[in-house]
Amino acid sequence: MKCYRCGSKLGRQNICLKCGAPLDTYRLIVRRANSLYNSGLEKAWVRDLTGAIEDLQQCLVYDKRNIDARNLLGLIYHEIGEDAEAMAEWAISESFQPEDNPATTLIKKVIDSDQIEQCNMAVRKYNHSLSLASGIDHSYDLALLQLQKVVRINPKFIRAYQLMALLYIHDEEYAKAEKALRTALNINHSDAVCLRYLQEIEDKVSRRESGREKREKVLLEKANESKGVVVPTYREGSGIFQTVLYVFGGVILGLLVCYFHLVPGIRQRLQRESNEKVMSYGDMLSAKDLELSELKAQLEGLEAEKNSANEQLEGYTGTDGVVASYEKLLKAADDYYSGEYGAALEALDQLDETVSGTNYQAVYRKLKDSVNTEGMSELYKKGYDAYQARDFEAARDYLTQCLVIDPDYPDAMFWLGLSYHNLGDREKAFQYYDRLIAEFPELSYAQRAAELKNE
Amino acid sequence: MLDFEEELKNFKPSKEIDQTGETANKRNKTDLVDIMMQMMKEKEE
Repeated sequence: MKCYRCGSKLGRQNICLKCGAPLDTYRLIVRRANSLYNSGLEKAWVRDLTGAIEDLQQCLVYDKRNIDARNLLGLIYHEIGEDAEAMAEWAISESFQPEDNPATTLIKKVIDSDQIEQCNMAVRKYNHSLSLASGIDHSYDLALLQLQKVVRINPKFIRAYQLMALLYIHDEEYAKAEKALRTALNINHSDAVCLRYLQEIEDKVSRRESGREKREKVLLEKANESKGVVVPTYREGSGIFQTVLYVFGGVILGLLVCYFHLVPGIRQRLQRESNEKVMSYGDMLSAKDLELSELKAQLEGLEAEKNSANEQLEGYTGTDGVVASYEKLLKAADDYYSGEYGAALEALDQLDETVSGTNYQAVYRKLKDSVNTEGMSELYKKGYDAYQARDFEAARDYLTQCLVIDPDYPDAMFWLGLSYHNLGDREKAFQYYDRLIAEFPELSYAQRAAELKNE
Repeated sequence: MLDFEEELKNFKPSKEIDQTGETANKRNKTDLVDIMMQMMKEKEE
């Protein structure tokens, strides 16, 4: 026995020596739970499973951690074909005591023996038969066929025997009902429903027999009351024609007997066979439906995966994809190293800086910084040198590129204006002079631009 | 005398083993030991 508070082993004391928890009430509860467990165990031994279930459930109300009681309750549920209940009890038991617990072995046995699928199939068929019986159509025949399958799959399923017996009683097939009930009672000697149905059958059969006895008695009395003795009369045969008539009549009578006694039986058998066929086709159809829906779900999943993969691929190979961005970045780098700083800047401006990949982003930033600083000063220097060498066209091109990088660079603006001036394009030249005068009036370039305009 | 319709109503659908978790959750209730511990805790407080 362990302390309910600290879990340490307990002696005979009334308090826990480790944590000081009082143990009087606890001992009473555990004693009562153990007593109920013992009673349940005794009942289980004599197959009074209903009584055993009641005692064990009561025991667990006192002490839900009573592992033996819970495992035994699961075992009894398993014995009466209620495997879901059994597995639930063993699962709870395992959660209370994960190590050295027989419930672990029991669960493993059920899982390893492939019983789960069998039990689930039996349950599904039982539920189907229940819906057939209680449905609007009252398809008791079909329900009975299903139930026969159920008990073939799970021969311990007490509830299936009960339902089967009820349907047989309803059809007044008392012998079959009794057989189903006896099978169930062999498993659980004290099943209240089975015992009640059996009593009902006995009542009905005895009532029927007493009725028959009464009728026979009345007939006998009437026969005794009738006067005289009935003496069979003999009449001489009246020729071949009468003999043929008797034979013919006998044949007709035989055919009528066949029709009224044998044909219904054959018809019933054929009906049952066709019902069984319909049921088996129904089962096959539902299995195929299930398979189809699973395949559909699989297909949908694969379609979704394919679409996502395509989107991912598009992200890499599309016009704005990663590959295209890398190509543009390489072109910008090529332009930069070829001295085409303006083109490099334009290419960089078209690029998306946020494309994934830290290497890409690092190269992008480095290249852009280089173009902005080194590129601009290099272009300005080349433009200025070209102007000094009187190559105004080259100066114009370099300085225009320089202003692409920095549109507010006054030095480039001034020398570009002068280049245009020397090329004879005064209108363009004046545009740059006007900007210098308006935006940078404090610089000497602005004064010089004003003088040039007035010349 | 058995009332067939009434008897039929007493039959409920059975559970499959896959529903074990649901059953276990419903089953794992408070017991007397829990109640006793709760009372002792309240007394101590």
